[in-house]
Amino acid sequence: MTNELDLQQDEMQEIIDDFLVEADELTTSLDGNFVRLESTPDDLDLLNEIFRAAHTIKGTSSFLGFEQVTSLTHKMEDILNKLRKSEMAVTADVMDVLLSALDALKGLLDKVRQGDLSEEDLSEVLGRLNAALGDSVDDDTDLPELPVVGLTPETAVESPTEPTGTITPETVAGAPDEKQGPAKPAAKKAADQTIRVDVERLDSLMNMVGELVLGRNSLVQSINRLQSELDNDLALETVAQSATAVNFITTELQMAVMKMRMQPVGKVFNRFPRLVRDLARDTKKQIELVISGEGTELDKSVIEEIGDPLVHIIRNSCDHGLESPEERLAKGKPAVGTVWLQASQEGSNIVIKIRDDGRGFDVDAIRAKAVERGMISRNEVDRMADRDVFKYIFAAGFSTAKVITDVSGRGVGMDVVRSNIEKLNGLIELDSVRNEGTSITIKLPLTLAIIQGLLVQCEDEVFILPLSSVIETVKTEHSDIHYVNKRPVLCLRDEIIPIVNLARVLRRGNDSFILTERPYIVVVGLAEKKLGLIVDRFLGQEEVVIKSLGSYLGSTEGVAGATILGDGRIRLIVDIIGLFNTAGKIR
Amino acid sequence: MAIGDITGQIRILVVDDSAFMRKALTMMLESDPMIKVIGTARDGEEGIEKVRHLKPDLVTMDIEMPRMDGLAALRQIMKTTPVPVMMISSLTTDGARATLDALEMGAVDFIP
Repeated sequence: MTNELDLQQDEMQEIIDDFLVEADELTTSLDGNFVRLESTPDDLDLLNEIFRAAHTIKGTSSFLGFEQVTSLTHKMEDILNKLRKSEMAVTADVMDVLLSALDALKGLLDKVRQGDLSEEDLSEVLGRLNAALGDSVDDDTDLPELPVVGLTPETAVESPTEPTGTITPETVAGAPDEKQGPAKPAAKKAADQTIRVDVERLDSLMNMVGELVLGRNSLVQSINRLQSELDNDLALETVAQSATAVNFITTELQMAVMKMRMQPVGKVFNRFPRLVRDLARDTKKQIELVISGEGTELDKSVIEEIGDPLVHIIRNSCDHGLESPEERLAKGKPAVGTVWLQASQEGSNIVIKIRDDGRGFDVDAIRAKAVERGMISRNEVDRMADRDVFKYIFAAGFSTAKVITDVSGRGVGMDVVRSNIEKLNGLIELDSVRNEGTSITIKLPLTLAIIQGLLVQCEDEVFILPLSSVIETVKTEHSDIHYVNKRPVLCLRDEIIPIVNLARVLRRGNDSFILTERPYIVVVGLAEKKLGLIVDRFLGQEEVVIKSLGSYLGSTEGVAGATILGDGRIRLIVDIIGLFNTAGKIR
Repeated sequence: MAIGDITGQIRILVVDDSAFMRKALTMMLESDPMIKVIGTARDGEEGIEKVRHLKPDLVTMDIEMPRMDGLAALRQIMKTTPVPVMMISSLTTDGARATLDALEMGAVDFIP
């Protein structure tokens, strides 16, 4: 049965790529499932799922002649088979062996990915697997592994001369995942209609749709202008009708492409049970990780960036936040510490919350440190709310300070976490109660590329506010404006909202302004904070494609980027987080 | 039912839970111009449904699959819509047993 197939090199490469994608999915699911198995060793469905994953990798790798992968997964499968038949018990030791085998497997897959065909020394991990299998002789009498159908190893060896490259095709979002066991009947039909698409193609599609949106905006605007100039022009009416259709389709297309890029955040969350398990073992703590909302979907680019900051935060929580079992018991807490990781959607934002029930921060130590570093005066810091004091944790270099690590035990690099989140236009907040725990909340926009913008005019300049941050717009009476500490505030339905002049804030000018008789105010929100922006006029709403300003402009706090509007002019998009910061400094 | 459709091709349904295997098997089978893969299914239940629906000339069937495994699906197919089934599975320690079971139930051949 050898060489029945005369596969072209690129076909072979495609087959290997497909194998790697599936193997990666399966190893990721194994990561999480192994850890789950440890806490629910009697879950037969789970065991079967795990067995099938190992089995599939074994089968597909032998198909392609990746013998080392096959022999490793074959041993894993033997152990798993014994586990599911209750011939062996799920113990921590067995799981350790399986997990180290899984790590070795990932290493082998990486080598396949790089086109590295050299043999890896697997004797140690295979030895451990054999030892775990015990003295049972039947695995020695096992028949030799045969390729399923005749694709000889040589075929596989000859073809992949160039490395597979770093682009890993991802499963198209929303499609049922192969690795998920029992699929819902509804999802069943869709299964075979899933295709895997190279991410680069999606990215360029997104880019083109962005340009299309700009073109559409310009078209619509031109037609509107012409319509006001030429009355009842028949030809123009025809063009306008076509433009309406183009307009509609563009919006649909944009939604469709955006949906295509959405992926469940569970893709990132999957690896955390393993991380927490290993941390618990290393630090000799007992930690339970509770994950919820893993089905929440986020843009792929956000998914890619969010992993590292989350790892950092969770590691901090386990490492420094949670106490040792003895210490916890002494404090009257349960010996097992808990870390909660939850994701949910709020409007056009995704909220990820990481909470632990550990020792929390020592807010006074942070106060002292901030004063010591000259970041703020003693007087001021004492008047600050605890919640605001915690913000210093995110200051560059602050968290590495020895005092903090000793007192509150919180680790390094929260400023790195913060800058990662800011890159995503996200927001991070930290709250902590001594001896009760710490919670960190991350808010991220659903998508980065295209937003709904509110166009406002302020002092001869047009700005764009992200509509997702706008709470409401009001045309107010002069009498609704009051002054608290000589600063203007708006009384809106019993709520006091500080107000600033948008253009003045962005230009860092003084905030003195003359109120018109009936000023227009846009109320924008950020987390629990609200701010009223005085503007001269509302110009309308438009879909805008955010273009980065690049780094050569220096500090652009308060500006998220620029866009080209329908009239062809470049306008600035206001960055709400930066705006709050700047407004805070002026006030 | 005569083997092959109007074009004389043999119409095959591939049942396997691995997307990779489905694709690879399809590519290999279709490298023979006499063979056409008319559908794929990712578990036993879906396999049964597609056998009923697509009426393939031959089915290739994996054994280890979620929801309903290959042996259970084979049993069901033989009972309701008998069609030649070829079991395709890499060996497990229980491979020999499964082979015998499958042949007993009416599988036409077994590719380890």
